[in-house]
Amino acid sequence: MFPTLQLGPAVIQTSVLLLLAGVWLATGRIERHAHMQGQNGDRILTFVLVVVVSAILTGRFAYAAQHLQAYLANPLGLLSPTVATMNLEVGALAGLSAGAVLLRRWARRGQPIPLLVLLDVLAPGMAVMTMALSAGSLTSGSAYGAPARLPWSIFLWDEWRHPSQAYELLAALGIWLLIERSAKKVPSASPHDPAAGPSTRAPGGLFFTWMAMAASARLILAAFRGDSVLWGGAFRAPQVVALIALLGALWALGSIVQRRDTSSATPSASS
Amino acid sequence: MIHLASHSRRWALVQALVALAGVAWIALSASPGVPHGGGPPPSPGQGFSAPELVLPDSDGTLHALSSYRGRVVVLNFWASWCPPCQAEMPALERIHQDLAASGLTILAVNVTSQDTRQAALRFTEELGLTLPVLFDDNGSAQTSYRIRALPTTFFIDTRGIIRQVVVGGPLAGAVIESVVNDLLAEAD
Repeated sequence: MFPTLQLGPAVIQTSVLLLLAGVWLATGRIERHAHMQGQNGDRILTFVLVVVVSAILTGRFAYAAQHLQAYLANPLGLLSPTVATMNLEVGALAGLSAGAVLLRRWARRGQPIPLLVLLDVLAPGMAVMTMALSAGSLTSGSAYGAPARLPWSIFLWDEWRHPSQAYELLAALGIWLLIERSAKKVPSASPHDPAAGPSTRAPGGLFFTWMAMAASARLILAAFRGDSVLWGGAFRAPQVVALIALLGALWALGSIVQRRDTSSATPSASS
Repeated sequence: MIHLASHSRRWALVQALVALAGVAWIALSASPGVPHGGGPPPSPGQGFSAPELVLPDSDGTLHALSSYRGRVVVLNFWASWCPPCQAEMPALERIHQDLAASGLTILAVNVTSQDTRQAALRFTEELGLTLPVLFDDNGSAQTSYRIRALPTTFFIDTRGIIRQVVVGGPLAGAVIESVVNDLLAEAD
């Protein structure tokens, strides 16, 4: 574990550096996949920026509103780079709402980005960010494993444990490679885009494939975590959430494939 | 159309099988080994019991962390030569004065093995600190709390469980106060 870097008087958390590196890499992947699908990369990145900034600002202000007296006495506390002082639920809701408003505004101006196409473009970036988060956990020692004496166990927090962070990093790497490979088969929104591969997937297929794989990985690997929130005194909450997400992704994939097959079957039936 | 209907049935079957396998895996991996009830083992990470420490203050009076069980504790590791530590100390002192009566204890642990008592005492006198300043002369507390950077602040709840670890600083007073207020509210 390598949680911090001390550069003179400054202490930098390694996980934050990895997160920033992840943002940089994810941005690059999103731009590239936007181009591959005939979308304007700058607009997609603007969308991402609006969602993230809205989520962070609203999350922080909502937290400050809950502790109004403390922040009125010391308003500079709003600038503190502490994730713990964020209202994550309110932040997520605000980010999604801001994204929806932006998409609607673009649609009104006659420059729509179909939601499923947008999600497909974002999927490789999300895969990269999952890797960055797993690597951050590996360096900080968070998301630690359950106690286990195995040949590959690591000694962490005073016990031999599953290297759950390494499991998650490997899974995230595998998912990213598969997504990059699948992305080449996503149909281009622009039929004349030479960068696009053969149209073997319907729009939305890539995103829900990523979601299904990420949820499967979480469902399986959360069993080896030592820090899970328990529901009912025994069942790991992340597994339950992951199973629901997996079933949702499978349902969406089924609907997408069925819609594609229906639309491709209709012309041949009429001809 | 027949092809589409059979495809749809197959897909529904796949989903049902995945749901069953998922539920079975969740049940199989349900772990009574995950700490709950009896409390987590001691370790200096979020979610673990705070490791015990017994350190002297400037009068030589020993302070045991376990003696503050039932109170919210902020454990702040600092050194007199560390600018971020110096910057956050007035906020810690103010919050100590405001919330000590509400059940908060702030322990400022000087990493004396990397500092000197004289320099630390001079600093505390300059600021007029009234919060307990403890001296880790032989570095045992630094070792058990695996201090890698200064300042490092642990927020410990009334059950003695570490709820937040903040490496680096200076921590804004509002941040300290909001985290502490949440822990105090939980205790009520």
